[in-house]
Amino acid sequence: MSVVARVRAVMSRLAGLGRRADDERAMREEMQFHLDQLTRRHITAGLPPDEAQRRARIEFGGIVGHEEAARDALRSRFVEDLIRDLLYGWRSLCRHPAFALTAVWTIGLGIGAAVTVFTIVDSIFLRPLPVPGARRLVTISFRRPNGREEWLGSHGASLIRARATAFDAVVAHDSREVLLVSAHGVASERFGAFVSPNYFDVLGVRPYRGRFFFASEDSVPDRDAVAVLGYDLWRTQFGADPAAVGEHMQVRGHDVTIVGVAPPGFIGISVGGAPNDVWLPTMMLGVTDDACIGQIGCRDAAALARLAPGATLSQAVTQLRAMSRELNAMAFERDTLPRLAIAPLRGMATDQRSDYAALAPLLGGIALLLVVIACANVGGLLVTRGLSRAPEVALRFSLGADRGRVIRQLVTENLLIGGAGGALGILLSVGSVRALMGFFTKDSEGFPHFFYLSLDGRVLLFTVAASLATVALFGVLPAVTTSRVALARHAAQSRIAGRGRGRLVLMGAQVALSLTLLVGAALMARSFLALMHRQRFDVSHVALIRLRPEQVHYDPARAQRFLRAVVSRIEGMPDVTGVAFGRGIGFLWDEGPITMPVGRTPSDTALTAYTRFVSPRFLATLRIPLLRGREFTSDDDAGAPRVTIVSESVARELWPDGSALDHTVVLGGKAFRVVGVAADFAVHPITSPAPPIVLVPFWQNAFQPEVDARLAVRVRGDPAAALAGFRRAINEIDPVVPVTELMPLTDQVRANYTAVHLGAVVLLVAAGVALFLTGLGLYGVIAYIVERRTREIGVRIAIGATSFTIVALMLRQGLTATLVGGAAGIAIAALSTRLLAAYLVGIEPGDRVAFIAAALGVTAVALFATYLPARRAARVDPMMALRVE
Amino acid sequence: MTEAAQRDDVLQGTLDMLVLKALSLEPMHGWGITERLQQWSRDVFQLNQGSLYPALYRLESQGFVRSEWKTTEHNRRARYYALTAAGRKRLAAERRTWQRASHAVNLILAVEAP
Repeated sequence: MSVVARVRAVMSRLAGLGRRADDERAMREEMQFHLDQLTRRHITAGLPPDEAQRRARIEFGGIVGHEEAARDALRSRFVEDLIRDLLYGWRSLCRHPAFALTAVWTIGLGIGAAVTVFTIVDSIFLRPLPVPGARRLVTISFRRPNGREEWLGSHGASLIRARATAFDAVVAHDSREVLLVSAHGVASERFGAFVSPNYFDVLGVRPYRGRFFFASEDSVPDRDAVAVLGYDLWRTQFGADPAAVGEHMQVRGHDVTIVGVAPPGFIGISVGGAPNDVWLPTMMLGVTDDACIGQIGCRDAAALARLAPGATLSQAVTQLRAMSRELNAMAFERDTLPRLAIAPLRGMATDQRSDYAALAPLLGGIALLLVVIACANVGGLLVTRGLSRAPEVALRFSLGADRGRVIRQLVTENLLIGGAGGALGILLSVGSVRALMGFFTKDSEGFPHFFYLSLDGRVLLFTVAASLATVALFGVLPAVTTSRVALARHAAQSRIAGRGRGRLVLMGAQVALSLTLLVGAALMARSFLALMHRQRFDVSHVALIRLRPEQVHYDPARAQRFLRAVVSRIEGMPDVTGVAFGRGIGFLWDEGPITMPVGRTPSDTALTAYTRFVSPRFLATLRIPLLRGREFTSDDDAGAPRVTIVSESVARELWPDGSALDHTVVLGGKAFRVVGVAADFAVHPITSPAPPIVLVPFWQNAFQPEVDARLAVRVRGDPAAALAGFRRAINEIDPVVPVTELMPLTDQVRANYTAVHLGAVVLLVAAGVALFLTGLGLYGVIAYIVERRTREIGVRIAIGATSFTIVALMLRQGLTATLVGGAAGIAIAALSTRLLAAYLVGIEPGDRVAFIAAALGVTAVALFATYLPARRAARVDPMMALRVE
Repeated sequence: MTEAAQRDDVLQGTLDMLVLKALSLEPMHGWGITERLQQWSRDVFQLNQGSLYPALYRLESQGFVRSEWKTTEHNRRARYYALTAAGRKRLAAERRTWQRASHAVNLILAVEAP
């Protein structure tokens, strides 16, 4: 069989699917009719009916053979028609490359947007783990009345394991412990998981080397110090040496024995969190120091359960409900009685979702708007094109072309566009999914995040369906109307003007939607800029470093000696202009801020202030204005008199006459002398206005001696480029202390506010695409109107209209649509920007600047898109125009 | 290739032309075409009646005839075939070819042995 024949066979089989039944029925009926007629003739000639029928069959010949031959003829007709239609469609698209490119890109952008969002929502919220039987896995947790999810704990897990028959396995796991792992003299921070021994079995994972845990190794706290290595850790830190199994290593300073290696690609189940590199039994949770392992009510682990064969989720719920009193007894803080929550394991861990939960509707809404705009655009394009082809179609009818055939040819042509647009859409979405997920690669402490992210079969199916739906809607309908118009050609002329108006209405709608997107984009962009630049301190050109001597059990004295050495070493490095340090999660925006009452006397506790423990030159390094007095010096240490710097709002509140300096302030029951007043600055960007702040010297922490510290280093040039040098310098001073969170401060801000950053970027791109499509659509419709009215314009010019009046005439068409659509868009935006409120920092959803900027942007694009064809109208040569028909 | 199939091939060329000729008078169904051809040929042609249909579908796919379902005078549904403009041209062309060829064949057969 030649390739061509094979292709034909496949195509005819495909083509046959829909058509075969009809054709077959018609063919049978037709042949039966013939046989009946033949039989009747023989009967009329005097033969008995039996004999007549027999004779008729003989004369007709082998019916099966004829049917087969007839089928061949039908099939080849379909394939030949299809090939002819495809060639015809291809040629006609080549004759109108501008139309073809516009249509393909518009469909591509629409589909690309839809697939991108579907893929991201799928991987964040819907996708099961890529392990066998993942669909039978559920998570069981406590849900507090405020909606927060909390771990069930390993005690709860064993209770359910023993009692609930709807599950055939219950796993306890804590998959997000940061562990310092040292082996062969190299230490690194890794995400580790503490798991019950059935963990690997339930997930269908087999050891790559060695073994996993025995049940006996998870029965007594702190006894069995065994660990399984992740494949990557084994490769990078142990050189993929099979002899690593049986070796010892240190986990947070505790000696453990390596018993096995997990297979490549297995990185745990903490989707949306960090990939796991090392696994230990839950009974070893003691190495994390703060675990309450062994105590009832200790919520040390999350519970993951597998439904038994034949059991349903509702049976499981019933059984759990029967145990809820005993389970609740394990939850502390009984005043807020938690409820048991059971949910299929899909996407990211449920207790991590809250940050991202609002993303799905936001992304979905944006994609939907883009798809609507793209569809309106393609629809308008195809309808217009269909109308301008009416003469061609009418010609084909008059030459005897079959109506169905013409429609099929038009559909084929649209299928070409739809197919090309769909392919482009897939390409675009592959790129944009990758770009968007780049936002989720690291958290604010520099740890990686993972998602199982790929375009899967369902997404591709969705794309094909979307492509075909687009084509069916906008390819077939205009094709049908085209035929009807062509049949009534005289009527067409009068209807065409109406079509132009219809498209203007569509354009108005597009303007409205684009403006909505643009307002959203402007709000988010301003919000993001506020986050980065309007916090009364300067986040650019600052490198962050976190020192964690606590991980290697340094006492405060030793840790502080180390810190002093690091600071003086870094201060001496080239291009460093300032070093500051302090404590807290996140350098500037303390996630767990310490607040203390502050007043002029111990009994004066009306004012509560954020308390920060900071180094000398803290204000200078972050460029926070020092209004009066001085900064801390290295002499302000534990032995020196206690001093403080207060923020402006604290000074104003306590000493309205402006005499704050040298007065005494009581903070948490201890007296401090005010040596400086700083400008108000935000502690947390969402906090607005800036709260009262009191700064206390890091060296003088009178409440709790410091061990760990976070450093901010102001540099000339790119902070990212300086990071490696800082790490080397610190390792030279003491190679044992873990150095983490090496990143530019701007990266930390971005990672902390992923949703704001992502929302701003997505909205900006979406608004750009929407504006582009709207401009394209406006250009198309005005150009079309100009073409249709060439004669009229010619007459106007002939009787003395100036080019200005012609341009104004055409501009008015586009501007009316723009203004009406724009007004509608402002109304929609005013109603819908409240949805963005969660992401807005420092500005209101009704921010006037954003609205005005968006309106100006849309108007400018609309004016430009309308002006181009309008100018062409003004250049119409009246003599040529009148000769057109 | 079998002998029978070869005969079909030879027939096919003329069958298409004869069908087009029959349809040039008026649209008719397959049975009507058979009747008409037998009548015109004074029953010389005993064509394998079933083979008419593949030929008709082929002609339709080539755009020489088109079809639609109608009701016969006896109130039965039947598919009527009609000649298209392209079919009319095709018939004229086939007729010219046939006439030239048959004229040539006749001339050759008319030559007397010396």
